[in-house]
Amino acid sequence: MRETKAETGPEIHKIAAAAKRFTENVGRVIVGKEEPIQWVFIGLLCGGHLLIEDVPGVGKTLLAKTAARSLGCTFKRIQCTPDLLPADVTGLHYFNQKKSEFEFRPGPILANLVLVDEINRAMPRTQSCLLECMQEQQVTVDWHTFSLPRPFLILATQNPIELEGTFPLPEAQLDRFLLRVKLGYPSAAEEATILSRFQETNPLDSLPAILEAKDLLDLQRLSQQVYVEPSVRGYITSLTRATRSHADIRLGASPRSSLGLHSAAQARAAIEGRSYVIPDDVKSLFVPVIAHRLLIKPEARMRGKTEEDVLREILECLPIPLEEHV
Amino acid sequence: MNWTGTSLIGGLSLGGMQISWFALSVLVLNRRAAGDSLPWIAILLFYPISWGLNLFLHNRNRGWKFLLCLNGISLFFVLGILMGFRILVIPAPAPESWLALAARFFNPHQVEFLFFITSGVAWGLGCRLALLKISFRSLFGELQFGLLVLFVALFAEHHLQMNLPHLILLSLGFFSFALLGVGFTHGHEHAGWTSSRFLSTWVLLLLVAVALILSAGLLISILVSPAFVQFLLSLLYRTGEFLFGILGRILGFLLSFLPLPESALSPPPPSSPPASRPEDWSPFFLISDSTREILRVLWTLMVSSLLLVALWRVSSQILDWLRRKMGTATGDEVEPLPGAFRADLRIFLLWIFDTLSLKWLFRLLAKRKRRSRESNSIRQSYIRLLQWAAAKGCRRDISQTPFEYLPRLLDSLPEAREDFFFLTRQYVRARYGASPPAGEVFEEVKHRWENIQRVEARRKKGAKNKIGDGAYERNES
Repeated sequence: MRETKAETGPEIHKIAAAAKRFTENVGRVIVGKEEPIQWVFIGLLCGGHLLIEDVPGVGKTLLAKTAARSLGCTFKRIQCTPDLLPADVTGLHYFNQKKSEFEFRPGPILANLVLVDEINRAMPRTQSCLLECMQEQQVTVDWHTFSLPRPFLILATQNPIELEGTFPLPEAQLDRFLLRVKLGYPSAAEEATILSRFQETNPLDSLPAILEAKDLLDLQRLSQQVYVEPSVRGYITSLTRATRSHADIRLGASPRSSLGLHSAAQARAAIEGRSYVIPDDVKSLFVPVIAHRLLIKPEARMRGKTEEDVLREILECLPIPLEEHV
Repeated sequence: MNWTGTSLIGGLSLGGMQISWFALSVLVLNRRAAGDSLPWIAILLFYPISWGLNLFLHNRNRGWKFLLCLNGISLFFVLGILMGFRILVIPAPAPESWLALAARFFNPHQVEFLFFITSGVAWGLGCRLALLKISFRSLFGELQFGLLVLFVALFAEHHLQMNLPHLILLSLGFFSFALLGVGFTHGHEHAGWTSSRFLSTWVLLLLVAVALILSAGLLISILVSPAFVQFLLSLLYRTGEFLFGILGRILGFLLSFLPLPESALSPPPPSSPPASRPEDWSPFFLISDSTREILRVLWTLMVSSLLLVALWRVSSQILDWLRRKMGTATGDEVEPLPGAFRADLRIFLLWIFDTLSLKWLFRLLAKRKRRSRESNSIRQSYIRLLQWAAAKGCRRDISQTPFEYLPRLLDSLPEAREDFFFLTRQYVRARYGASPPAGEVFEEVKHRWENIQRVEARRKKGAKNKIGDGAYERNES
């Protein structure tokens, strides 16, 4: 599906080249998992936040840290616990006795890349303080609003197995994540490679940054210029609308998810070296972009259906925009 | 087309539909214009003869010019025999000029003329059936057109109280063939807006459309009687008269404000005697009765065509509206379904332009839209590829993208791997890209498509040789 440079122009190829460098760099630490790494880069290109979700020990935090290390941006980490307070995230005004005035001490949220580890362990009020940051890229502390640095991305991880002492994320917050990335267990060969790679040193320690904040902003701007044909746009809306009328779904995808799918498809097309979106881009990103935003009905869940199953059903059912009479 | 298996049922349904509405039209003409003297069964026989002949010739891969010439010769030969027989049996009354003879022949009430026209139409329909690609689209278009003709025939039958024979039989036959053909081709094609979960929508749409057209026809037949039409016209006339009267009064009132000239106040001059026609007066232009008759036929034909086109457009609009309505209700995109009749008409007109050597006009238009035409040509090539693969049993699923479908194409003909890949890639670029591919890409696409066909032909030939060698070896042993 890749196109030659002459067919697409040098601008789009900047994204393809950056994606290749990013994948190679992250691949020095993370073994296999090309698709999740590509999704992470798509999230970076779209300026969308990522939710990395899987069982413990598969490398969620490592992936987030590796992605953050690959970018030459300011990076902060928030380790979520039940006693974490909103002020610990956003920052607070404290009284400076020497100067006899209140001063603002910024929290870890004021960085380009923020790793929110085990996000579902934070209490709902702490989770809620992220809503404004994620959507409006600003934070309000004591009636003062501060703009967050650009680019601003949140890489959150969560463990779906342990429910004790956790607080499930509200729908409003889930909808603000562009993609949900699932890593899954590595294959036998990959696991053997992991053992040998981490035997003596941690490759993360010597990982260089390959992309600066300014470069990332340029790439984001380029990605937005990828052409989306009207029928492909119609296909995106048909897909999201189909989730709202499906018999097994209680809460369908929001218009924000249509926007997310649109920009994610643009980013994927650019990574593939294309200056236009094709239905393959939309189809491949439909599940990771939409699945975490849905609520399926209890009876469907009792039948063993998951959000991914329902979305795949929709994909198989809806016709793609091709020629009208074929 | 290849008349095997499934297409045979579709073709027979299409033939049944055509023969039903055509027979009804001929019966109306026979009763109304020919006074029951038209040999309508003989006319209907032209249809299967033409179909059989054209099918036979088409299967032998004859060119269209050959087919056209042979069709014309055959039709005139058969008509000549029949006319000759009629002339021998019924001798001409008196010698007439050739213009008078032509005028007499072109009289729509003349049996020979009606016979000539209707048998020509039957021949053309048979020829069309043999060459037409049977599909859901063509059958649906035929249903639409047949409904229109049926509606006109039933309307005429009711108003003129003609008591036509076999009316119910022919109507029932038409609907049975239509439902069989449309249902069968839809089930066979299993694609488009009527497949899978749209099935219930489609059935509802069909039933609503049929019910709407029939009920509208019935309602109009009940309501619109000659007295009603006369009442409407008189009402229109009275309204016009009233409005013009008011206008005249207003003008008169305004005129009363203006001062009249002196001459207007003087007494009127003595009335002069009416002008008498000079002795040597002659009309400037005289139309003979024969020419008048020909012009009358042409005028009738034009008005009838306009009426048919108008009715066709109205029925299309109703169906389009219904489809859009259903699409809006389900929230999904509805595929447009242009009728086969329109496509046929377009092809016919293109053929006429081509025959009249008006290619320069097309070239002129082509220069303006060259890029988009090239893009469309690549898309057409891919459509041909899809149709070719579907005919080989490798049908694309509606949810499959071109790149998802590519592995199946590769499996069907691995030797043409590069060609398939190139065609798919260029199609995707032409279909979804912002700028169409360059002209040389189109040439390359054409070349690749021909290469695929060559590879397949070589493969078929190889398979035949293998079978032949095997048979030879068996004979030898």
